Amino acid sequence: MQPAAEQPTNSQSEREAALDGPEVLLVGPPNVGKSALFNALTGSYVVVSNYPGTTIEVTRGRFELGDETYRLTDTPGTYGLLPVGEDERVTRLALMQGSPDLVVHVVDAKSLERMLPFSLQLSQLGLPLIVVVNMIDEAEDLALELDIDALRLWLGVPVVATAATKGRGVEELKRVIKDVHERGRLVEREPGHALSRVGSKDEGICERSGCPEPMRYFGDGSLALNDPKLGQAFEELMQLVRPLLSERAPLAATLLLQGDEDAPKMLPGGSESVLERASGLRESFAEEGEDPDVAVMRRYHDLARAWVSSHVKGTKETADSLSDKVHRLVVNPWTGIPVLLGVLYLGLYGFVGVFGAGTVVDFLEEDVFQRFVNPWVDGRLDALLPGDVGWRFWTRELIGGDYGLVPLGLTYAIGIVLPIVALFFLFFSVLEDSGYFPRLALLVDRVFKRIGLNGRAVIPIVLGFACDTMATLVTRVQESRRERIITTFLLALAVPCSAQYGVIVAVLVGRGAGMGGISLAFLAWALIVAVVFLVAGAVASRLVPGESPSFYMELPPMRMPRFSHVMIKTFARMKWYFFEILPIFLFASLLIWVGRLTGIFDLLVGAIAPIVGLLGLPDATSEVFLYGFFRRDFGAAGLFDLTGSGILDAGQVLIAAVTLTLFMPCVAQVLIMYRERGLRVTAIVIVMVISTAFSVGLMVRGVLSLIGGLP
Amino acid sequence: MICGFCGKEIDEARAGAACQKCPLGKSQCHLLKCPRCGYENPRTPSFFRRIAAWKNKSERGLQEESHEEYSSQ
Repeated sequence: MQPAAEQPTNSQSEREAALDGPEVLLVGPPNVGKSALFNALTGSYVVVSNYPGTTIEVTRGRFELGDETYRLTDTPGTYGLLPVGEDERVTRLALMQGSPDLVVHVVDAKSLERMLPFSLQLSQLGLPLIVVVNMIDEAEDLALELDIDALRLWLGVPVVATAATKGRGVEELKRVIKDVHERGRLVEREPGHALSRVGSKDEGICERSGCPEPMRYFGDGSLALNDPKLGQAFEELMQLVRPLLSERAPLAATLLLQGDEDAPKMLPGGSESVLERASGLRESFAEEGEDPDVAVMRRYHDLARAWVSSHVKGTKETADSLSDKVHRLVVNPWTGIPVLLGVLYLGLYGFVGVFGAGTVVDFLEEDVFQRFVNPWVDGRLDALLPGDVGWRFWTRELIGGDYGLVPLGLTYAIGIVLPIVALFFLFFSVLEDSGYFPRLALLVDRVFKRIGLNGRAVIPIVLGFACDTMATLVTRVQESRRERIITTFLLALAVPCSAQYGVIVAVLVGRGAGMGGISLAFLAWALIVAVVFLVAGAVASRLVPGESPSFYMELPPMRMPRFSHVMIKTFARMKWYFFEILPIFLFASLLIWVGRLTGIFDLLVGAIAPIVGLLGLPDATSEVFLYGFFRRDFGAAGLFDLTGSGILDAGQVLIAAVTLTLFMPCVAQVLIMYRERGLRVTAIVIVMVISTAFSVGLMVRGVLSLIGGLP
Repeated sequence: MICGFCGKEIDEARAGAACQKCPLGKSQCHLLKCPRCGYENPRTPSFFRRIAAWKNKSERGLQEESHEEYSSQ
């Protein structure tokens, strides 16, 4: 067993790659247990490094069989050879341009119909292939009966059933890997017989008895598609490509037929005639309104479906479970959008806004801090440091007074922000544990495509409602730079973080007339922010060059949230948040104290006042905007404090809430933006955000003036 | 740990290794990045991890005790 805790470095990964020994490539879709199999084979020894020329990380390890050390590479999850994102491109590069001695394709025993098309594609590679049917225990639990021998015959490659997490089948897999490596490309000749080597190229293994129609293999093990037109086109390209590429001819022919952009790179120089013929064949498909790419994939899927229907028992769907019913309810746009609005109303408005930011904050801020803590601190300070001038006065102001560490930093952090954030995290963890978020991604995919994103952007956007800084980091999960820039911009502009959102709801609840139990000011705020989000996204998608990649993901089952999981996640997030914000809030209070001591604070407030005045807000609001520079939630807490004093009417509260929501991202978010996107993008985003915030604020003021304020 | 987004098991040791490229540096943050979907999950606080370890240990101890009793019979 190798040590598990070695720190990966580039030099280590280079040394790893340079080691002798056969290379085994682990490929397969996401979530089929590749990592578990990797661990079972290598004993958890890993080196993580970027795949050459990409930012995608691959995991490498090694294991010993007999006297030989095998190198194992775990590739990013992929469903096929035609890449959708950069991670899938890595897998294809490893297969096409790397030189693996053996490919192990891991599939989920429960979903063979979706998995086998890729197995068929891989069988074209001309590389020794083993198919591992993993999670066989879960398939058995579902009473699925798989005919592994028949699959072995059908694919013409060794097939091993495993349950990697339990170690089941791993020893057999090792034995098969050793056999295949030592004896070359192997296929099953007949059920129950030992593995044996394929002989001459003319020995078509599936032309013998037991080979299912409508497919057959060439002598080198590659697959011909028994679709008259496709098969003819494929074989014509094979005739042209085979003299140029021996082993990989079937793969090159298929990719050329599919119009893959990297396929020409597989051919040697001077192959223009082959490329022209491939182009001609594709055009002939196009003339009949067909896409050879789609036709090939459809053919693979038809073959897989036919095999599964005749060889897997127990696949008939049983009666719908509650989970299935809820799933359909939340992903169907006609029911999913009302459900989403209901979830937002009950969770964000009712639970976090009205209860958290209203009831709980009222108790903590007014009853605990304003009534007991702050007067007690001021009383103690007055007794210890009497006098209205000099160091005693300023020391008192640092700790108490109106802007000190206790009334500002501690009260904002514990009395206002923490209870809101705690309830938000509780609500968030319930949704997270129920499996709702991936369905939300599916639901909003179409809308997000209009703003240059896709469903995957739900991850950073949803996380942005918790903390925009963290969400800006998470934009790295997105596939293109264009998407990352658009999402970063939208997070900075129109996604309020949990504390900011909660405080703003508390400020807006009860302002203006109500509508269906919701305050009109809140409805107006939500509508304005949503419209700004969509319009800004649509504009950004036109300004930032590039295309939106497609989105797909495997959905986990809907499940009843587990109490212990929800509480642990809520506690973990609260703990992190509290320890992050408390020092910043205290530091901000300290800066304000220094600013007041030196007069800089008043100078800055004075500088902002004319702009705030344009929005129709009193000078006191300038302080709130200044707080917002430190942190969004700090600014929101300042607004909460200000509205408590009753100097703003309903319309002014709405203008301030809208402008502050869209206003400058906090310092931490700016720093992360700079690290992730660079100076130029960060500068553009800040200018866009500030100008949009004040422009929208002015527009709201204009509309309110026209209609005579909020009713 | 189960990923809160894609619902799949995360190997905490390997997810930690994947954080090496994080611009926040090598300091341990409170999040665990899912290697499959990229979602960042909160780590289980050490307090709860200790409770879980203690619980597992107790259960193993009870099982061993009952096994010994069974063997002696």
